[in-house]
Amino acid sequence: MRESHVSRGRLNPLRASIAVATAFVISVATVSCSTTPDNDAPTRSELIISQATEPRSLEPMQDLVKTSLSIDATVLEPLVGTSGDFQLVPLLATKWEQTSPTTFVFSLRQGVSFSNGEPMNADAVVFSLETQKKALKSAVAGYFAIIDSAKALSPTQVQITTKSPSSTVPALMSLMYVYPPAYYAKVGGDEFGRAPIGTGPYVFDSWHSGQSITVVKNPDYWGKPGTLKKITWNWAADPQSQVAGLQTGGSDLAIAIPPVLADQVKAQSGLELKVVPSNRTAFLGMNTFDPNLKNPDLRKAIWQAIDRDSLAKNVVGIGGKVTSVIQSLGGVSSDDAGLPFDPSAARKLAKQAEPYAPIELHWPQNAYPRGDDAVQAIAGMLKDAGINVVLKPMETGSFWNLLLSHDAVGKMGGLFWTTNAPLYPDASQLMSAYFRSGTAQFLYCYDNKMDGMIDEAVAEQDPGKRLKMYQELNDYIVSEKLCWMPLYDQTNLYGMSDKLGGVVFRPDGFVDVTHATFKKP
Amino acid sequence: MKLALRLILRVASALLTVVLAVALAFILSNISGDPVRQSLGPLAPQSQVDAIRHDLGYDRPLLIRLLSSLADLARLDFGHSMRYGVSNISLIGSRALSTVELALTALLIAVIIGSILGLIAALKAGGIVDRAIEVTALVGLSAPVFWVGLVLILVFSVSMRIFPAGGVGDFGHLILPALTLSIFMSAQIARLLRASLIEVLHEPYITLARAHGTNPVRIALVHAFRSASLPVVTLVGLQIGMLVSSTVTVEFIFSRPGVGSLLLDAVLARDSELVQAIVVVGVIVFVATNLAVDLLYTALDPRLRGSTSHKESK
Repeated sequence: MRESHVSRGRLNPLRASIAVATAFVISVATVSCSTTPDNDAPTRSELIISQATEPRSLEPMQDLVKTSLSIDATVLEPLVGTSGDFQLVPLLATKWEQTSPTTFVFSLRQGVSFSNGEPMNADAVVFSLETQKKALKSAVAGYFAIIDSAKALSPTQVQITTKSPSSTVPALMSLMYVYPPAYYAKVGGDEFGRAPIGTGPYVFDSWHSGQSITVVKNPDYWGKPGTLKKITWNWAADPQSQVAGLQTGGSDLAIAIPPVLADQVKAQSGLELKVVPSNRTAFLGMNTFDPNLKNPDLRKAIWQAIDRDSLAKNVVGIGGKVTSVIQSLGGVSSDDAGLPFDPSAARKLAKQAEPYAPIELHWPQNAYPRGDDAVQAIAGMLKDAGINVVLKPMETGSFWNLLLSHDAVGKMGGLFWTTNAPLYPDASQLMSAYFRSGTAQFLYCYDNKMDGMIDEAVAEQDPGKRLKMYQELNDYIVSEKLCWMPLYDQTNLYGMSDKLGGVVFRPDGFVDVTHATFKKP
Repeated sequence: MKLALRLILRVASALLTVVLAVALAFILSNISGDPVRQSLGPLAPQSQVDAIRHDLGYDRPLLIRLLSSLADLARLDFGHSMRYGVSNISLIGSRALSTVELALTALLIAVIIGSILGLIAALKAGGIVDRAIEVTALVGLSAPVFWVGLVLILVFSVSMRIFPAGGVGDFGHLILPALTLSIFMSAQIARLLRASLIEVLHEPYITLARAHGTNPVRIALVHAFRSASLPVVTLVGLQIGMLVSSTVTVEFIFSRPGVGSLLLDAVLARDSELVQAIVVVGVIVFVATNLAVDLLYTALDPRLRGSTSHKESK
């Protein structure tokens, strides 16, 4: 009796616990409900973009990753622009002219100022080029090594001279962002990279490390003004979280989502999946100085053993496309280059090449979307054709260090799988860097004929003739030397709100949001 | 005198731990890849790569660099981040608050949920509620943190739209990450408290209290809970390290700018100096905490303090 009285009069511990838990959940839910993002907000003037990685720096020469350059380019502008279809277009330079095989003159846009009031003129261009040529941290210094000097002919004209005949200067200048000399000299490269000042349609506002970067509209922009008041980038390293942010209205645009999450975006009402063909090409390189692979029959067997259609369809998935072009730009197209998939012919050739030691297949592990899957598939196809390969996965930095180390020839034996995307719209970038002996970074496949073809193409001033020369060079490397096997072009996937428009997705992964707009609900 | 010697030895052992941790962090972060090539891109000329390697001292022997690193540390110089171009200690400082906020909230949630579940399970020992709590705790102990985080995002963010899926901002942004981080510790506390409570409820003084007719709720909450919670306090102290280290995963999933995500970025960017600095700061904090606790125990507990003098007197 006494027990029951006590039970009624005092709080039961079980009930007490449930009450405390309920109160906690309700209080938390109340706080959170008041802060949940509202998807049905009126037309917005702020764009929120989510991407996997934070830039290393907002100084373009320190970070050439396209997702970083996409942020830089809202604030800073290069001398020469790049259009949505990856062609050179006037920007801070209104026109350019090759006045001799080694000289270009660029005419600058008049009346343009940096957002701190400094004038954008020939002195600023010369300063920027010299800085980017010489700075130790400059990732473009190697590309600008061909440039001998730059000088101001007048406040609106700059002359750039190359060390040897070259027609690539305008393309190189699409990588050359123009800095305000006084501000840059005052703060230095590292601080400039944390708070850049430029001539762009937006002005840098803030960078909260690990969290977000924000730019706001530049009211004094010289050209077509930006359409948004504010653009914010934030970072979501986990792709699933990135897509979840998009689904819940936490962001309006998710950059580079993995193929496995594409269906999740497509299935969600209010979201759109953007599939953009990429000019990043996956390829299989062959060391023609390797004891095994110097045998052209074995290289031919490898070519014929690999089913590129299957790789494009099953590994890349959405939008995957087979290519026979070393670098998919500038109109070079050789879809019939190379050898067709023929496993029985491959098996026969491989048998004839015996005996040979197992061929090493190196690749940078976890470096590219579905890259590991592609390599496994290639190894399986080669084994099916009786070609014995040994897989050599490597850490990315170590892979490139080994691939680029050489004496007379490259030190990485056997085969190597990786991808390449052009930094600027000119076929010379990859051809010179990969295949020109003496100056090339790769020394796995070269001969006197290739050297001559490359030198002639770089110096050729007629764009039509240059294109034809690169086409011939491509066919020679792919079909005759059989040392470089283009496999497939990758696809860039983006998730975005279906209310968002005006975003330009370039094939190189650069995303231009300066004129993005929100449709009215 | 012997007490002083013990203290000196304890401090020396803490310093040795820090030195060993620095060496380990240094070696691991330096054999994991080349940061220079990664920062300049594959087509950078070798001469430029070599110049930067020289500038950063990467061309010196590993042992010399390690000794130099220890000397810098002795001067409280934690170096500069290659990726961000600023001092490591300022970077860590700018991110620390977010991690501390997350860890403390998770700790609070873990203690509340774990205590409630442990108490209920003990009071209903052997019953269906006890079994249900036991299974739930087992799931909490077994489920990987990243999986818990993603499930919580899918349920509470994507489906129910109650909490934001990630990022930072108001208190709502903190709930799911803190809940994810607290699950494991909640389960541990619940199980330990249950076992401890059941044991205490069989103690003679509890039987005596029952015989005196004391209210069972009062017995459980006041008399038994206080005694049973002592091992829980010890557990919480021991698991704080685990809690903080789990923030790496949670901050990654929920895109929170804390020290954990900074560490992950640094590892992925091969920013070895920043990796070292974070590891060293973490080790110093834990070693200092442990040392302080040890010294505090010695000061507070006469049995520990007197262990040597007791032997001496014998």
